[in-house]
Amino acid sequence: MGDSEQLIELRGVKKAYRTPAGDFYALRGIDLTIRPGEFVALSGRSGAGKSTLINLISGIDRATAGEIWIADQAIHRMNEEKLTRWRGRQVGVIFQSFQLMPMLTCVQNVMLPMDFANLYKSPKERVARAMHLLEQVEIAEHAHKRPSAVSGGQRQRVAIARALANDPVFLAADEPTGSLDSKTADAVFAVFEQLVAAGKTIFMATHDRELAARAQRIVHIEDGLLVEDA
Amino acid sequence: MPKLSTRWYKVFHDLWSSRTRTLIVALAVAVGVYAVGTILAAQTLMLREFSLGRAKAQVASAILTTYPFDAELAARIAALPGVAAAEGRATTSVRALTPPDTWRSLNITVVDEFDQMQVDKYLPVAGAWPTQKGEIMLEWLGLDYLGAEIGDTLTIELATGAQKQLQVVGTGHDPQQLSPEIINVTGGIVTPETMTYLGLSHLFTELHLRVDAAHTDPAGVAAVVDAVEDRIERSGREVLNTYVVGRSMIESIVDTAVAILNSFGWIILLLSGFLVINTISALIAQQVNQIGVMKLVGASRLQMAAMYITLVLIYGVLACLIAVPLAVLTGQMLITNLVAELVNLRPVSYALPAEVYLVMIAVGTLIPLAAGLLPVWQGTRITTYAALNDIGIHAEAAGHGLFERMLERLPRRWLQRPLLLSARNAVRHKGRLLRTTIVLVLGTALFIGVISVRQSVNTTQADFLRYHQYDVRLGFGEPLRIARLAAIAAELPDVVAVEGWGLDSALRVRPDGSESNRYQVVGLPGDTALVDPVVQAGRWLTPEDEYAVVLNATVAKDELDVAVGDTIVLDMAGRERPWTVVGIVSTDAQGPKIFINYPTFAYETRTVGKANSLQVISARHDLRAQQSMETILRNHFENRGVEVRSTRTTQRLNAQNGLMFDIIVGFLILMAVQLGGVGSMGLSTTMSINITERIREIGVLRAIGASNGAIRRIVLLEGLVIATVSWMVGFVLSYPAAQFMSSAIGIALLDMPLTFTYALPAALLWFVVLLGLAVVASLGPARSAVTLTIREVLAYE
Repeated sequence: MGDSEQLIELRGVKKAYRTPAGDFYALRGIDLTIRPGEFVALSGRSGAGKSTLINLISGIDRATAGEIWIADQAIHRMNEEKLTRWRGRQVGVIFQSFQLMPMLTCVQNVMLPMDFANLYKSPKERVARAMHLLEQVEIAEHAHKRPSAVSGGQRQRVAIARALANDPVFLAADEPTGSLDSKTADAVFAVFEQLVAAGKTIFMATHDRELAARAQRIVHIEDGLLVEDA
Repeated sequence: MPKLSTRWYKVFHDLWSSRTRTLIVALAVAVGVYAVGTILAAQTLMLREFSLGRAKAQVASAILTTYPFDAELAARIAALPGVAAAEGRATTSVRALTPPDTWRSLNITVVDEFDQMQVDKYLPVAGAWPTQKGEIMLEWLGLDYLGAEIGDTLTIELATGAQKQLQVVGTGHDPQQLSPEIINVTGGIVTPETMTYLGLSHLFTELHLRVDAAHTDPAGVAAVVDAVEDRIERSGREVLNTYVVGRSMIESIVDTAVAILNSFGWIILLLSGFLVINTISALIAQQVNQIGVMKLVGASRLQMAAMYITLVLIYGVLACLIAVPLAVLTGQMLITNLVAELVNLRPVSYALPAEVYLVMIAVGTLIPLAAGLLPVWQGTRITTYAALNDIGIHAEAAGHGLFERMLERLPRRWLQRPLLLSARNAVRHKGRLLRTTIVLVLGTALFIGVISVRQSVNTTQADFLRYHQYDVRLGFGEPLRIARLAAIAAELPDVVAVEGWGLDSALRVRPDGSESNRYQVVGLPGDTALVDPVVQAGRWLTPEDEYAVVLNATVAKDELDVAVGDTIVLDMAGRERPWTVVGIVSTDAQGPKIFINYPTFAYETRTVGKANSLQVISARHDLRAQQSMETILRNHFENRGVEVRSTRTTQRLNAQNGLMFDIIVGFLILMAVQLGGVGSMGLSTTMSINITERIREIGVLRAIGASNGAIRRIVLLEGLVIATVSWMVGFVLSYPAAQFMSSAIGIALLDMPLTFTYALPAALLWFVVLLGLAVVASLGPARSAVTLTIREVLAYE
């Protein structure tokens, strides 16, 4: 059972990948807790296990061993279908490569999670919420453009708005500024800070030590183990 | 703002933005719908209108020939138990003058009450009904055959040589008559008064009999026929012949056509099903990343499956919109242009029942649905992690199976690197490759098979022609001295040789006392050089044979208990004699025939030294020369005071046999085209899909220095590898497939297998077509792959 004081709790989490040379452990026993409203940066070099940990916490991938509790839900026990439905309502995920649907406009991309979760049922309500979120990330003027018609930084803002669509309990971000120039990265990071100020919990993987330093808490990962928590 | 919810917007966007892909998938489905639809439409119309025509005509169960009788006897027989209708008829063979100077055969049938016909009815088509004295109603196909119009006056020549005029006042439809172009004779009906006007007896010699509904089985018909024979004999008349109406040639043609349509329809449907599975699997494979994103934002498997199933159903609806009207139109055109005149159909309506449309719509929607369910369900089963990390290079697909290991072990001088890469790419998606290969292999085997059947039809026809080693046959009303006939013929410079034959008829008296229908008996010299039949069993006649008979395949099929070496009893010229069967031969598809040695024939028919048929070999053998010789011979004999009752040339006979096969060959060619279409679509879609899927991989190759030419070579070679391997397997299978089809179609139509001829040129042509298709199907995607910049390709979704 998870601790109600904690929003996220990982106990002894391991993740192995099968390779022709045998099992490769990307995570070798992670214990971690995150409280509601925290902005936690996960730092580490490439291949240290950052993305794997983000994938496990957001329910994109499944742990080989250990327990993952999020908002009192044992997500390590959920099957793929339950995980998907849970993620759609409880987690907002942001990637370095944006992962937007190219055929949908920015506002439609933001409305898509509401559609699948069947939330904000009337079309008017969905549009209004999507526009509100786009305004929040300062991209409303591009709402009816396709992702291909806006810049990288603007796409990431749309991805953030989409992550917020169903008012999730936390946001998981994997190198959200990795493909942005420093000025745009700074602006996107500012959006995260506003969200945290508004009470959102954010768990963000980054190899940028400067940006990581702006988070409330930094956990450092090396070779699949957490080596520092500050 | 759009009213559609976002996910449905994506579905419609996918349809519209990828119009080429939408068209390819819709066409893949449409090929199957079109094939099944055409087949169903043609089959439904053909069977319905054929049955309707026969039902309306109230076809006789049996025809009994006896001495002249009147309508009163027919009425008394009609009242017998088991008899639904009995009517008297008499048929006279005459010649009608076709402008400007050709004489063609016409059978005039006398009918008592036109309005009261209850059996073997003529169904009025146009003009006056009933006819008056001096008037004739022609079978509707007879107008063209005789070059006449309603209102024209027809000059006819009776057996006596007397010429009379008859006015054509109308046309009727006799669904039992084959096209006159095939049987070389047409018919017409007249009143008894007209017969008197022609100087002929108005009495009947044939009793057309229809049994009631309780006696339609063979035993029932036989029982009623027995009772009717008794009744006729009690009236003091001998029954000269009893003909129990069995399967007509028209039915054989229709049944064979339906069998071809049915079997090929299912095969084409199966192949197009594979095609649809391939295209839908590929569509799902192309969308793996999008599936990952949808799962990322919470799309359940059911929600995504619903989206893709809807997409598939829309493809199906589009396919139906394309294929259903085309299929209905093609089906109707087949009936109008190919079937109607040859088997004498007069379709009352071309409307198709709702079931036909429902089947087409079901095929169009359910087949893609069935084909799509598995790939959709499998595609949406992928984990979010796997879907989001889909990078186009599938680790699981780039396997190390037996084939790949074999390729690796081949010496490099045998297999250059581009060819190795192409071969490995071709086997990467084994399921898809297997389905494509099955489509191409079956398409190849059946395409070659169908063309081989066409070739076998030609060879069989050539055999028919070979059977007749003479050019012109003259028929006489009575046996005449052969020496005299030969002398008259020899007066003509172009006559090379002649031979007199005796023609009569006989019926077989079976061991149980029952009698067969009458078979034509041909009495010819045992060492004749004028026929060259293909011996199926036993041997041909020899000059030493006495009471020996050779049966043709049609007789052998009717008398299944008879084998070579058996003794059978024949009733010929009023005498029953035992005869030994020494052989069974294929002849000329012109009905049942029994061959016996001329001396025995002449002795039995008391016509020693006489013949009623003269076979003439002329100096030239082409159609025009034969026709010219036919006219010269007729005029010459008539100038010498010998009346010629009939003439025929072997080239015309061959052409008539060809017409009979036209429907079957027409359907076979349609099937070949459809199989070719499915095969082509199979290869094209697979190649397009393979390349589109690997566009990122191609980018990688270019990034590491592969030239555009090298990329094109790899892509082209892949298509060529698939096409070549499929063709090779299909080529091997095509031989037994073609043999089987030739045999089955021959037996269904001619009671004997066709003379098998393998269409090697078609096999080679198809190989070239496949290679061409492989090139065309690969070039487009290959060009896109090399025209995109490396950056674009690597960012491709």
